[in-house]
Amino acid sequence: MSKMSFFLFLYLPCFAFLFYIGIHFLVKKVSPKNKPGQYQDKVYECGLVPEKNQQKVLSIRFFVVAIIFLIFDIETTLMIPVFKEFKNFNTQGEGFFILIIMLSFLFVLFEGLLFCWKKGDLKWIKD
Amino acid sequence: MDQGLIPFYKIIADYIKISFVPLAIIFSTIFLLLLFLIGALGTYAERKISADIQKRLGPNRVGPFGLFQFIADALKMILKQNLMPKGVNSFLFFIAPLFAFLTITFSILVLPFSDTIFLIDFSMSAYFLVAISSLMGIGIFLGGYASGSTWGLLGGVRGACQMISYEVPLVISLFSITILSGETSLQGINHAQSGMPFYWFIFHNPFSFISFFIFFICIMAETNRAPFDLPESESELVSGFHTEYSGMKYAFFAISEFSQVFVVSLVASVLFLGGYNLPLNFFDGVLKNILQLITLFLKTGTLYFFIIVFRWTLPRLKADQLITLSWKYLTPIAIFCLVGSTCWMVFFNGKSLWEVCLFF
Repeated sequence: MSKMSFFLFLYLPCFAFLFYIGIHFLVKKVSPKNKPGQYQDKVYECGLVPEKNQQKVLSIRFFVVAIIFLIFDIETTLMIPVFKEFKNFNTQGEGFFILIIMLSFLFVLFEGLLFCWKKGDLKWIKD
Repeated sequence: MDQGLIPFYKIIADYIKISFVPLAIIFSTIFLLLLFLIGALGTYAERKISADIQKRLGPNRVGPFGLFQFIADALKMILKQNLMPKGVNSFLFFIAPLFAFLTITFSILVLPFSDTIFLIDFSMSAYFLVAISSLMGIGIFLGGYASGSTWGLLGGVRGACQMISYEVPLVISLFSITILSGETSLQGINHAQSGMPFYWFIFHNPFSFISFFIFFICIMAETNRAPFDLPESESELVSGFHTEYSGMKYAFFAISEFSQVFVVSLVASVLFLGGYNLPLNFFDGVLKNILQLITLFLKTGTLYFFIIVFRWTLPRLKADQLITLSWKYLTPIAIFCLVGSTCWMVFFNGKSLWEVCLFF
C-alpha cells in the first residue's frame, strides 16, 4: 500500500464520521421542536405501554451459532495463504501435495461441522 | 508506487499548479457521495420494479417518471421530528447508523471500476471487503440492542446471527476464486479473467459455476434482502432492528443497505462475471475506461435487478430454515465446490473447461 493510499484510508472514515455528525446538527437546526406526545417518547410495543427495558432478554441459541462461526472464521483465516500460493505451487507441479494437505485441513473443519450437527447445535427447535 | 487515479491527479495538479493531495481528497469524497446517489437511485428502482410486479404505478409525481422521488424523500427525512424515546441507550443509539455508513465508506475505497478508476488497491482487498461487510452486522446489532424494545432486540440478534452464518459459505466460495486466480486483490482477480464469457470464472469449471450461486445467495443474506430479510421482517417483528429509528438516523440505515446491495453485486460481477474486462481490446485511453465502466455497470445492474425481483417474488424464510440453509446446505456444498475446484486445477493443469474441451 502506498503512502497516498494509506492517507485516503484514514481520510474517508473521518469524513464519514464528520458527515454523519454534520447531518445531525443540520437536522437539529431544521426539525420541528414540538414537545413529544404522550406515547411518542416511549419505545414501541403492540398496544401496551412497555414497563421494563428488554435489553437483558437473550436466547442462548444465537450464542452457540456465534461460537461455531468463530471456529470456522479462524480456520478459514488460517487457510488464506495456502489458497493464495496454491497456483504458484501448481505451476511447479506440486499441486497434488498441496491438495492433500488442504484436504486434511478441510477434513478437520468439516468434521467439526458434522460434530455440531450431530450434537444438535444447528437444530433451532429441540424436541 | 503510483496506481489508479493518482497519475490522473498529478496531471491536473501540474496543470493548475497545486499539490495533488487536495485533489485526491476531493475525488474520494465525490466517489463516496456518488455511491450514496446510487443507493438513493436504488430505492427508486426498487419502488418502480415492485410497482410493476404488483401492477401499481409506483412513484410518478416528482420529476420525470418520479425520478427525483429520492430527493423528496431525503428532504422529508431531514424535516422529521428528531425523536429519541426514553429508555434507549442514547450513545449506542446514535452510533449504530454510523457503523452501517462506515461499511460503504470502506467499501468504496477498494472497489474497482475500471483500469484507472479506483481509489486504492492492495493485495488483500477482496478479503478486506468481506471483513468490512460485517461492520454492517455490528451496526444492526447495536441498533437493535440500544433500542431497548423487544422488536428491536429480536431483529438485531437475528441480524447478527444471520450475517455471521452466511459469512462462512461466502468466504469459502471466495476461496475457490482465489484458487482459480492465485490472487487476493480485486484488481488481480479481475485481470485473471478476460472479456469473453468462456474466460469468466463462473464458466471456468462446473464447481465454480455452483460457487457463483452460493455466493449470490450469501450476498442476498448478507445485505438482509428478502427472502432473507429476517432482521426487519415487518409481519412478525414490527420493523425489526430499526423500529425506534426515524428521520435521518433511519435514512442512514436505509441508504447504507441499498448502497451495500450495489457494492456486493459489483463485487460478485468482478469475482465471477469477468469484471470490467472488454471482449475486444480495440480502444485505448479515456474511451477504454468509459467502456469498461459501462460493461461493469451493466453486469452489476443485471445482478441488482435480479436481487430486487427476488425480493418481490419469493416468500420469507423462517429463522430455523435460515440457519439450516446456511450450515447444513450451503457450507457443505461450498466446501465440496472448493475441493472440486482444487482437484480440477490439479488434474487439468489450471485449464478452464473451454480450453480442456478445445484440446481434447
